[in-house]
Amino acid sequence: MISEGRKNEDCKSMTRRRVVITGLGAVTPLGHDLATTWDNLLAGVSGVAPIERYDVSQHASKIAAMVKDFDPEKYFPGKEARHLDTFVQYALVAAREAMADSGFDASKGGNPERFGAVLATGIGGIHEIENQHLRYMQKGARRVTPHFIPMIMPNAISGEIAIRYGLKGPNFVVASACASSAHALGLAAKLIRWGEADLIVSGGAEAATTPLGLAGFSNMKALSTRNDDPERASRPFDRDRDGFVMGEGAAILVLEELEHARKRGARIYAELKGFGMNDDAGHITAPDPTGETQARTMRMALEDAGVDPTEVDYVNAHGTSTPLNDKMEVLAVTKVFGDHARKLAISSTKSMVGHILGGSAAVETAVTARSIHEGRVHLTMNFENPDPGVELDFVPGESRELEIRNAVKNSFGFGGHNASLVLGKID
Amino acid sequence: MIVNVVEVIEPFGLAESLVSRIPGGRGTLKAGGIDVGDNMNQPENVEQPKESEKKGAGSVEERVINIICEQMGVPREKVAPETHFINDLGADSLDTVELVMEFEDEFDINIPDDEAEKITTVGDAINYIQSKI
Repeated sequence: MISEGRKNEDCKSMTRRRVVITGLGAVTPLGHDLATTWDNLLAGVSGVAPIERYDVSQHASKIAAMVKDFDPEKYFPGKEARHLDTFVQYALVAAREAMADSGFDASKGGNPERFGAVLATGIGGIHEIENQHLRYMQKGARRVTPHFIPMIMPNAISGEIAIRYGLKGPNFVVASACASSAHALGLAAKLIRWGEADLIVSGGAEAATTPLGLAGFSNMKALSTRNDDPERASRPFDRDRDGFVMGEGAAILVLEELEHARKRGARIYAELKGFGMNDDAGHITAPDPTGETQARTMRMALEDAGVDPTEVDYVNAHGTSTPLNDKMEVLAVTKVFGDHARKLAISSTKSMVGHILGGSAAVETAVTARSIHEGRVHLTMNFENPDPGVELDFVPGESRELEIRNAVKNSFGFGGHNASLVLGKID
Repeated sequence: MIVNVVEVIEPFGLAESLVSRIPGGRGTLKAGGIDVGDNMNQPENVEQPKESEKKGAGSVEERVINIICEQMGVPREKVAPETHFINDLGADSLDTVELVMEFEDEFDINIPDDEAEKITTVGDAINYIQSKI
């Protein structure tokens, strides 16, 4: 348990517990697993296409990055699939990959209350809400499925994962819109650091590209309306960006205390070294335009990690492709890194998988961990021209090899939520 | 069928704007809900009635077994009159409630809770339904 009055200095002492990433899994618009997603990201493949699942003639934005050819019956036997909302299905398939990847089995010894599940989603079961609402309207209240509540509740993902993998430790789901997964990962890491758990299955999921979800984001004028050229619509940091493209999917990351991982010979992708979080307290959707608050988020994360800005080689940006976010993020990065900013490689995964909302930081952190492990970063697709006066390296044109000592992952959400993670190569 | 929706809905206290906001929104009011018509923008995985489940097709026994196979995700071979929903098919409490709901829907009957509790096997369901219709 946490001892009362433990101060910051204790956390920075040599005995501080360290957190590493030992398993990765993902379901994204670029593939039903991380390996396929990764290969497609490196190759500059776009996951964005015209929406065909339902009629979009009335929606202003008609494109999205959907998970393709996902057949629930292939992944879930018998009646399971019909009792799981899409966002939970994605999370469970990603979890299957991540747990196998980590080689961890909670039943093989150890106190199961030391193994938890802390995940994220921004919206939750909107698919099933729409389905059952239609059923309600057509057939009345008595025909709403008894499975409705357990299907739509955001914590379905962490609950279902705990059940399937025997995890009896800390378990909950966090929400902070587009920053949700970053908060989940950061909090999971802190729980391990504080000694509350030795291993936490973390990450996030979202499947909100439904008729209602698309209409909502569309009508806010937040989405790109480049409907005639979908693959070029998501263009983070590019001068001609006009809004983000909705994405969907999930990623699961197994976070583990370092010694626990070493003892069982686990493969380590990267260390989760630092986490910073704050809030703009400004506007419910627009970010702090000066980038000042977001700069502080990054500084807090770097300080928590004990990493100097000059020791960072890669930034996986929030990079949504909206006029406001990308401009602000450039300002924030410049404030934090100064001259070193020009030496950073900065890329945005959203340029190819779209904005996976509550699951975005999970997918992007998994990609960052893989980048560190492999010494390679993917390009920012569709980056052609910067905003006037911006001279940063957004990894344009093609992916490249890059030795990464430390990387920063930014995540900013509606509601002014700012979160930054620092990941580093493990020696 | 196009009906003057406002006149129909008002007595039930629903806002006129509720139906008019539904894409393609025209409809007649049915007991228990609103029939929103075929051109409603349907979310993608709303279950449409399968051929085998459409009312009137096949005997009571056939229809009951079809529902059970569909709901519990089991093949026909595993379903016999003595098959127990909980012990043999692994149904939990939510599954059994949903099964009863599907029977009510399919056969247009009402099954009160105290009677539903007594339906524990496939045979129980068939016998009960046959006695009600």
